[in-house]
Amino acid sequence: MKIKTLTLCGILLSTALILSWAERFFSVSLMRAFPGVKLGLANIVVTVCMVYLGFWPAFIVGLLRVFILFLIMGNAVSLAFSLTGCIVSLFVTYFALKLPEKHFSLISVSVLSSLAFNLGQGMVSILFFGSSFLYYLPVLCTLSLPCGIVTGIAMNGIRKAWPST
Amino acid sequence: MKKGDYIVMAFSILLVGVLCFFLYGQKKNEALYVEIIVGNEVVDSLPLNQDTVYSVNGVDLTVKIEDKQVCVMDTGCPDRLCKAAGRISQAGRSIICLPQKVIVRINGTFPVDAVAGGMCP
Repeated sequence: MKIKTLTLCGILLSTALILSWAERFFSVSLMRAFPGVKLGLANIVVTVCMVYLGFWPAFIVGLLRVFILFLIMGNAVSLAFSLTGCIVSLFVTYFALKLPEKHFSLISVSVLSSLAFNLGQGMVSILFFGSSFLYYLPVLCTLSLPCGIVTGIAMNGIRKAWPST
Repeated sequence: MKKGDYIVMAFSILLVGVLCFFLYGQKKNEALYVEIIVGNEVVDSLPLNQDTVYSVNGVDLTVKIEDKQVCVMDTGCPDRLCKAAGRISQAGRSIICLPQKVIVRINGTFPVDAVAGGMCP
């Protein structure tokens, strides 16, 4: 791994951590109304990382973000949730980036990955809470749509401002 | 915003719609029942949407169903905690009279809101 890539990964990881800490202040009312719903600002960083550096750096940044966030403020249950959601959404992001860039912007990628994140979370929560959680899943998936669009618009902005690899 | 984005959004909305249909569509016709359990046996099962007054056989306890809510109307137990428990209406909730070993329970799956609070990181 080149030193430049390594440094970029570090910067992106710390940005992701700051964003996931800071988004609590943006989405407090959202989280109060619908438990477990977050804006997913850190997803911007992970997707941008995948666009510019490739799959594995993004994978490492995503997983480290989840682990460090768990050490800072999580509990074991939320670790299992975010870990599964993160891995599933990373794979979906990878395949969504293969879509032809001419017709699909990063909004599509972001919407698909946030849907995947929620579905992954749903799988784990069925293990933890039983099948009654399934009835909450459509709520999460519906809300993942506006959240995905918002973060997707941010990603498009970043891509425009940072065009070279 | 490009053309493909709208397709992806439409696809996501469709997915959510299908999910809603399968999860909520079948839930509607599941009627709730009130189970009366004495000791370890289910002695009777009453529909929640029918107003009645029911006295439990063998013990001194009367259950009232009104407006899709159940409560213990009268009891002969000393502490009367079962009567103080008030009315219940959600699936999975129960009123328990410990001295007489009676459980009044609404069957069905427990609504998720009490449970999802635990997952908020």
